[in-house]
Amino acid sequence: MAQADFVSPTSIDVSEKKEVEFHKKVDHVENPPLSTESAKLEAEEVAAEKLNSEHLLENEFAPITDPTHRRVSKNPDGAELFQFEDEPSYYYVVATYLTYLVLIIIGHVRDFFGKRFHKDDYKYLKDNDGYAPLYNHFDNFYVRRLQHRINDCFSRPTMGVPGRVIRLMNRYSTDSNSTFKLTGDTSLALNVSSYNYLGFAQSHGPCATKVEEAMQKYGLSTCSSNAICGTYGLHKEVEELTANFVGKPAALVFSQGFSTNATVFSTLMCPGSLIISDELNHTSIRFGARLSGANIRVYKHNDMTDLERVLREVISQGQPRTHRPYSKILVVIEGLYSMEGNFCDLPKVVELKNRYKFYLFIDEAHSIGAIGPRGGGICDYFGISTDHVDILMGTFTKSFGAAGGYISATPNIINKLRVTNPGYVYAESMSPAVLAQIKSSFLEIMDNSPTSAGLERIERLAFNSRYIRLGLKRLGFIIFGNDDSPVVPLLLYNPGKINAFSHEMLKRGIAVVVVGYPACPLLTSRVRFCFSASHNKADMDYFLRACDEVGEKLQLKFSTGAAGEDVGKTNVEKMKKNQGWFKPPRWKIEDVLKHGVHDALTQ
Amino acid sequence: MGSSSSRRRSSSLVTKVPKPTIDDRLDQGSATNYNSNWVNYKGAWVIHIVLIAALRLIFHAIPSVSRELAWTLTNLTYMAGSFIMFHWVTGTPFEFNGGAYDRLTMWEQLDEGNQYTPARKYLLVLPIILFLMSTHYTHYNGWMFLVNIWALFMVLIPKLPAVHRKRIFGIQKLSLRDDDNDSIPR
Repeated sequence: MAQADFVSPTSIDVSEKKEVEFHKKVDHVENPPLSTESAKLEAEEVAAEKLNSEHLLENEFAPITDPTHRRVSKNPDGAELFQFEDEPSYYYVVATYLTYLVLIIIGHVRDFFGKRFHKDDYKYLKDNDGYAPLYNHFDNFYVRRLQHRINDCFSRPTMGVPGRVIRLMNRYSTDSNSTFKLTGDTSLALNVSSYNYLGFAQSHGPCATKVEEAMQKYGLSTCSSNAICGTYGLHKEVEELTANFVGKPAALVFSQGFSTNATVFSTLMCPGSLIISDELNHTSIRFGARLSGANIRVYKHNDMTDLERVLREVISQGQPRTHRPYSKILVVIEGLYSMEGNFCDLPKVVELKNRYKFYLFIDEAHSIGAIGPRGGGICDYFGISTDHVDILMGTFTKSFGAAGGYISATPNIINKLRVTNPGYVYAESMSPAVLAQIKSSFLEIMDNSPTSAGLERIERLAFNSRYIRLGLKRLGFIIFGNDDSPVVPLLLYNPGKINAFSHEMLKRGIAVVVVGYPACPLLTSRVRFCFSASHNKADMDYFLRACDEVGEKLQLKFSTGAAGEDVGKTNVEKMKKNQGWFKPPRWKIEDVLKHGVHDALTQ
Repeated sequence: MGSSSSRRRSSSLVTKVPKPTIDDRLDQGSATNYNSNWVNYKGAWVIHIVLIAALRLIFHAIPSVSRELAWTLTNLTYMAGSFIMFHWVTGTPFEFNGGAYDRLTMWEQLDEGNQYTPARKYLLVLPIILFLMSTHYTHYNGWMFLVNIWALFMVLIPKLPAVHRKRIFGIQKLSLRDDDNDSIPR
């Protein structure tokens, strides 16, 4: 039984449909000359298997349709980082506030009456038969009254490998999203929701082959922690590869990404030291910082002026109450912020580090593999030596199609972590199968030959990111983040549009991830696209057409033109020329597609 | 074994929220407070004007409500809403900060507790202006003046810096059990 292939929905016009072909037609397999019955059956089986295999390959990684659709991911030399956050007019902002106000009032009214007339539904919020409440009723208010309404947009069950396309299990709810029932069938959707930056989410190919071999050789698990007998030669190899790739002398590999951050600060920091954290750092960083017992200060997101203000204050004033100096100060930033799509301003941070002499920790969970001329992350992107960064952290879950995380630093830091870090000493060590995936993807990426498959992935991702961002900006959407960022947040604002956008895109066969308050600030509800090297131009053109259609239907084209309709530097020049007045970009989809490739490659 | 009839006597008309422990301070510092930081976003100041104008139009549209009564009802409704939102409800509607804000009203969570910030100044001045407008448009009617100024004081007194983390006349007073638990040295 051949697996059903992804076919574009019929909502697209027939004349446009031929542009949206996601797979090549498989050539007809000729029958062998000897036409006996058994030979015919065998030939049919071979043909079916071949067809199935090719469809799987294309569903996970689309071949590039034009070899020029590649570009180098690099910050222009000497160019200042350009990351502008546009805002809609006051009409949309006020409407968003009013929507939240109405939702909150309705929620409280329903709680008021529900607690009196449907007491059973609120048992878990009250003392009940000697048991304490599971939740404080107000702590649970948001989940109970606001998130519940759009629960069908979250945690959709999927099947198979989330590569170029993703297979969703269809479900429905008969009790207002309290429970869901699966219908038994599935939908195939274009996958712009997974952090599959380099497209290594594949069940076939050289990486998958190496993983199978490693399972045969080493087994599924080490069944032990690193500190006892769970460290194989393969672990050492991957640690060396990681250190070489990142550009640091030594590295340490953890079996889980979140716990890498959650446990590392308790080893490095102590009471009497200080962690200065970006406002939008990941929960794992906050969790780890909190566990460490060190003092914590937060500065405004990517605001170097505020960071300098905090540094001057903490250095001059010292610790609370006693005013003694901090024993050490660690500034923690991320290379690529997963909900904002922007980069840290690394040149300015390094400048501040040279002046104020703090330690610098960069979380490259998203940026490693995703940016930089050779995928080396934020330092590679800016051309800054990794010697300026004390600790580089990253994960293997995004660009490498694996799991786990790493810490890379100087050998003395790594050796201390090796014997004191609870995430290393006590945790189960990484599975050999995952290590094999990491190793083979690393070797593919680090291949520097002109025909390197790894280099193709990196440059395809850079082109795809630029192409999509440029297209969405020109259509009129507010897009946050750097123009080279593969994370593309499209702003929705009104919470009523969160699930509407998700549903409309799913109707068109595109799976997206929507984000609402409080996972992001109150006003800026958004949908977070994430393109990868596994998409080609046909995929992106189909996606842009769908966004244009849905954007018109839901009134999502808020762009005022302040962020421009071109890439960074061109924007700045236009802004100066126009004396601060901007024409809102509202291109037609045909014009966007016509100029997209050329402008993405030349600007 | 202890006498269950003994009870701590209320010590004063004003009770204080205990100072944050080191753990509370770390919890508050490690994550952004999304419950209160929206007051610094775009439109957060304009929405108050929009709401007041909307309330005014709604009350004016009701038959048999005079112009003076409409202004008084606008003033009272806005004052009641802002009192409930900023000075009655404590904590956050989601669990992000480990319960570090459970005892604080939204006003006390604003701007990490810093006083005299632009948002605080605006939110303190706006009810005063609304009160002055209401008084003017009710033609300085004595009884309506008393009602309006009572409402103004109800929302103005909790906003004063001198009353930060204090509860007057038991308004949003902490439960006795919590007070007893906190008096135990840690």
